[in-house]
Amino acid sequence: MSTNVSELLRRKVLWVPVGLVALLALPLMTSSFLTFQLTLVLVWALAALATNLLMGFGGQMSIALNAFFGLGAYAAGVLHRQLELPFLVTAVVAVGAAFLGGALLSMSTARLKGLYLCTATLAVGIVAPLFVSKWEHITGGDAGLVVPVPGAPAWSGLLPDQWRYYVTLVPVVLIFWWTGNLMRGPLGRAICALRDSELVAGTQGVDTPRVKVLLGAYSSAMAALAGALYVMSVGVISPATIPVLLSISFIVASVVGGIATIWGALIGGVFLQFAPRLASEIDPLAGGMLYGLIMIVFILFAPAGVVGLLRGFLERRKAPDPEPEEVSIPVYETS
Amino acid sequence: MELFLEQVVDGLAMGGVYGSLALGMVLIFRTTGILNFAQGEMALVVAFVVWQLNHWGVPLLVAIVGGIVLAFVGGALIEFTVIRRLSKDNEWGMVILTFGLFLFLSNLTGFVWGYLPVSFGDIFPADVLSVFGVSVTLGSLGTMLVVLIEIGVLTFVLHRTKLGLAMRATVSNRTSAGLVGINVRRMSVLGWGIASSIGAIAAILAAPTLYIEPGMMFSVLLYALAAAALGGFDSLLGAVVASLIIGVSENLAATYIPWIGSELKIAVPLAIIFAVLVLKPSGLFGSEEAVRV
Repeated sequence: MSTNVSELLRRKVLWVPVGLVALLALPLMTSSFLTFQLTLVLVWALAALATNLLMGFGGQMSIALNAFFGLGAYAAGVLHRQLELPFLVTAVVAVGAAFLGGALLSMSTARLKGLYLCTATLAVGIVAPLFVSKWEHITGGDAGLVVPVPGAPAWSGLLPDQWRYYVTLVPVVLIFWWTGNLMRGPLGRAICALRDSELVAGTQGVDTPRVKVLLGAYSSAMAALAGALYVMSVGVISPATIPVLLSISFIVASVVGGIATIWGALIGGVFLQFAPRLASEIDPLAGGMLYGLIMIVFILFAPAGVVGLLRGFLERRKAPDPEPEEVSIPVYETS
Repeated sequence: MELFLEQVVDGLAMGGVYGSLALGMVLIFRTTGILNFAQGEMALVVAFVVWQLNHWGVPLLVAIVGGIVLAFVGGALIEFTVIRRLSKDNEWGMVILTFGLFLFLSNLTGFVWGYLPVSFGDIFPADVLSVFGVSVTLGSLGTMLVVLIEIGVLTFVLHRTKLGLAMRATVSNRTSAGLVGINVRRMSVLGWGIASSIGAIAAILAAPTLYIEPGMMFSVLLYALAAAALGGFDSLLGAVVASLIIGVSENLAATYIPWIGSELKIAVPLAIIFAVLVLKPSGLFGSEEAVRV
């Protein structure tokens, strides 16, 4: 009996439609404020997915995603406010700009690995909000930029919060689906090879610089879209929203969900939206301490995150394995 | 000209503080291969403890010595409880781990001591010397002297003693070092303990100028990182020389380029980090890495 249940749980045929229906139905059943929070869950999930792609799959320790989140938010916000372009147009411009920016950053840091890449991108992540506060005449400086948020069109019959939720949901689901497919394809394998050993990937014919630049551009664009969707829902963006700690929050979300997974990012998004609020109800400072502790505990005891724990749980239930054993491939020590 | 020279001297003194923290980071990097992003916050906790002891009536010098000893124990304890549980090859895991430590310690200090800046006054006498018409505070001289002593002692220990040889062997090749009878785990613990003490000295030296508050060490950490990157993560001398360059250049930039001012002052070391790494990925004094597959 239990075998059948876990067998079913592993079937995508079952959980993909269930998940989609749940995502579609949630805002119809909850309060307006909860709908707003769920929209942010999707935003964080997208940012966590960008982190997963860059760090978990690609092994590129980049801490500059907050800069691209900010680029997306400010590009969309400023264009919408000053030129009164519709959000759809501004979001496309923002994503395009971040794609180019990400490619440019990856090109200039393509020779860096590991800690060196980490340090160089940390510099970018820290400087970005400083420049935002400096360019007051465009960005509104430290006071932040207030952007009028779009309401629901009359034909939809939805509340504004519900409308914004669905406008966020559609691209997020599409990107998750598309990224999942991408990672199963040749480019996905090339990205994983980059993480496992850049040298070997290169000798096996992977064009490593090109993959790196593509990866950087793609995940930066994703982070920028998250930023644009964020400003569309929240209606205000300031340098204090995009400190380098935001990048670290994305990493926390990534690690909690499962850093080399696709759907773990969604769990990470839920965590990022709700955990700090729960923690700050106990004590405002406890939130930060909890964050740190959770990072440490997950890395030490559950390095594959919640998704890894679930997978392990399902594997164990499957224990008496009726299928033939997998052929084991000998693994050679790399050092 | 006098303004220029005074800015240079002040920059050298701040550079000394950055250098002290950078030395700690380089030492951990050289003994364990980890870049410790929590280095500054570990030092901050010690600075708060020193202030607290002093506040309770313990003489400052005794409190400082106590703090440095505590830093050693704390650093060793962190290695013992957390760091060694993770495989040394798990580079991104280590980064996340030290970021976790960073967040935890940073909020812990706010939780325990609050967000009001405190200070335990001057460590060195507040006298001002006049050298060729340029006024130099004893504090600046003392800071530079301490850092010079640190680098002397560290270089001696690492390159002229058996312990240093064992430490260098451990980071160069853990397995082989273990096979020739070196207690590699003890080397790790020692590395973290010593590095933590050196970092704590940086925080104590910085305390009179920066005041002790949560977040105080974050900018120092960035400067130290910049220095470590500029000097090459594995070079002690490189880290200190780079710290001095950074200390002087940020001071001069803030004084002479009005557009930068105090807000973008911190962007100077970051621009340096980025430029150096992009142009010469192993830093100015670092050794090139060879990879065996």
